Formats: sequence, C-alpha cells, structure tokens
Amino acid sequence: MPSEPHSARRVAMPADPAMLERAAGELAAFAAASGLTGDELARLDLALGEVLANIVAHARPVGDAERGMVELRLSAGPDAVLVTVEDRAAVAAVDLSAVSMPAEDAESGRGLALALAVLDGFAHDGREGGGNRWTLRLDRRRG
Amino acid sequence: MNVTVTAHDGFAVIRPSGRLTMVSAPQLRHAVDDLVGHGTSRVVVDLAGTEFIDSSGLGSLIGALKATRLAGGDLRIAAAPEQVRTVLRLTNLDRVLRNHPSAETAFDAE
Repeated sequence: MPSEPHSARRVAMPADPAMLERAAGELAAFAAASGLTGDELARLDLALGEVLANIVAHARPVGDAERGMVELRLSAGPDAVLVTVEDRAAVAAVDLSAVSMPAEDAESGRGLALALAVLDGFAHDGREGGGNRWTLRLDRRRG
Repeated sequence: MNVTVTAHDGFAVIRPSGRLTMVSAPQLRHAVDDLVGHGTSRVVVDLAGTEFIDSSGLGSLIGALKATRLAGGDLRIAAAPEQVRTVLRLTNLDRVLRNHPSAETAFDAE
C-alpha cells in the first residue's frame, strides 16, 4: 500500500447536485493515491457527501451573485486526513455543538449528525462578508 | 442510480442500484408512491446493489415506510451491504428498518 507522508489535492466545482458524485470520485481517487484504508474512505465519503448536500440544500448566495463554486481540499499525512470545503455563500446558520440525531420517524435532519458521528474533528467557520469553511478530520489509527 | 421494480405474490420488490443520495432519493420515493397508488402497499427494498446511502437516502426510506403503513402495508429492507447497515446503526434506524437476509423472505412469518 502506498503511504506517502503527505499528499494533497485541490479541486473546485460548481455548487450543484452533480458535485456530490464528482466529489465522491475525487475522494476515491485521492484515497487510492494516498493509501487511505477502506474504513477511512467510507467515513470521509459519508461525511463529505453530507456537507456538500447541506450546501446544495441550504446555501444562499451573497447579494445577487450567481450560485458559486465550492472548493475542496484533501490532504493526508501520517497522523490525520483533512478535508476542507469552502464556498462563497452567505454564512450558514450552523451550530455543530447543537446537532443531535433526530427521532426515528424524521425524514430529514440526520446529515450533520452522521458526519459528526464518523469524524474525529468537524468544524464550521463563517467568514465575515460571506463564505463558509467546513473542516473534516480523521485521525489515523496506527499499529 | 437505477431503480427496478418487480411484482411478487403479495408484495413488490424495489432494487435501487448505485449511490442513494439526495440526487437519487426522489426516484426511490416516487417508485414506492407509485406502487402504493396502484394498491401495492407491501414493499421490499432490496439494497444488495446499493453501494452507498446518505441521510437523504435514509429520509426517503423513512418517508416510504410511512407511506406504505398509512396504506395498511409495510416496507422492509433486505440484503443491505455493510455501508448501509453502518449508517442505519449510527442513526438508530436499525430497528425500525431491520435488515432481512433476502427480499424473497422479508415478508415471511417471523
């Protein structure tokens, strides 16, 4: 299994539903090139998909700007795998510390709770004037 | 994603293949609503070919489950791969959507 100490990939794509499939493909290629385990890939696949679905469903443009781009950055080192997702939409009203798994009969609202459940670190930061950055971290289990 | 529907004796089987996400979840929901609308409210969703499910996919299963029960039937899932079983467990849905070994036996007496 290839295990380069650090590998990174950056890709920008339009913030539309098609980016879910595209990002999943980018992630799978990155995982293969960086020697991620099947478990690491599965967890990131789910968490990244939920973040992107959240952007597709809820992102509002700033002013009258057209629907923006989303930039994805993937990096893997010996200790952690990091994925950041940035958009230029209005700052999302998200409080990850208040996220919990909804009741059995709910038909929505599980996305961020699922991402929290599979990640070792998960943060959302809003930038003044617009823009969101989501940071997804997996700690690598060695031994 | 592809969705195929087959009729059986007393129930129908829906087979979504590929990734069941916000892009494809409406297709599954539509297939179930179509069956219920035509009088088939006992439905098995055979997940053997579903390589990935997210919260939108789960939401469509829960919505479809409610639709079948409202019509006096039920929705059961079968042959769920590991990723699907993991996501069901993480969302505490593994009891309300209990995985059955095969679509053909999902409605057998328990």
